[in-house]
Amino acid sequence: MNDFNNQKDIRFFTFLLLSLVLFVFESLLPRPIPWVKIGLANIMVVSAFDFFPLHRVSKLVLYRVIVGNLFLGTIGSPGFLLSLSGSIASLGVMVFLYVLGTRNKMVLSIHGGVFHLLGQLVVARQFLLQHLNISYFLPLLILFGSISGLIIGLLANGLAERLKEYPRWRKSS
Amino acid sequence: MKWLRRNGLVFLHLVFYWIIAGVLFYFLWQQRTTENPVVVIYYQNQPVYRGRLEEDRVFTISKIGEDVVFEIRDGKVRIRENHCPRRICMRMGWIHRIHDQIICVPRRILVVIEKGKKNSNGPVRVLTG
Repeated sequence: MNDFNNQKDIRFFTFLLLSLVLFVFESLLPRPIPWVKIGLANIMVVSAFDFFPLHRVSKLVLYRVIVGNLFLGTIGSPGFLLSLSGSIASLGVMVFLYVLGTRNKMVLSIHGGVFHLLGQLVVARQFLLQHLNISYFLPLLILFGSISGLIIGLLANGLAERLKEYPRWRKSS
Repeated sequence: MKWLRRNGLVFLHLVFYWIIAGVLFYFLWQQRTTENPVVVIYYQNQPVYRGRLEEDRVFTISKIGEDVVFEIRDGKVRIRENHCPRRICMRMGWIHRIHDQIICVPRRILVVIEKGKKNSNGPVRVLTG
């Protein structure tokens, strides 16, 4: 029994570590367009829906945001608030769709990508820059959110399909 | 075609968002104007500067700090210098149309072009500091 629980934890922390590596790696890359990034860390989050129950996926997102921002030294900064709000919005939408029966990772990821950016925009407007005109940024953010969501969904799909070939990587409870 | 048949649902979701983005973009484009632009600078949600874009100037605002330099030239405005971590605000470049914005999230600076009153030739005003 202990060995079984250890296996579950190992799988979870493997996903978490990979998610953190991708998060930190992406923060080092130059961004040609301000604020817009692909969100490579979400490859692990989206593929996690196939391997972990929803409460573990939620923990994965939360731990990744907190520990990732600790690594980058941005805990307590406005960037951390935006990262947290975007991740929660994105996770909320994906969990909602998953509960409704959506299993297609690309669909989950597209909605997650758009709502990640929308969540950040709403929190920025509410708490940081109250005179911000949200509508000015909406078209571009919706476009990029959907495209990055599609890319992440494709990558997550590929990863999940490869992992499922190994018996150890089956959905744990 | 085969990809479309297998992933038609994905394509539908994408098109849904692209239509929304397209409609929003269309309405925003209709509102784009350069009539009577007034630049307003907000710092921590308080307006600290309001002025027209006719007169070229390079300036700082004491309340924000001497390290943030704003520039107005040829009817446009930008953040010329800033020592925030990523300097995204500087890369946003020049703005001059109504509703155009430059944002610095770490310093909570917002530069907005708003619609001024017609025939208003009021002086440049530093509102605080």
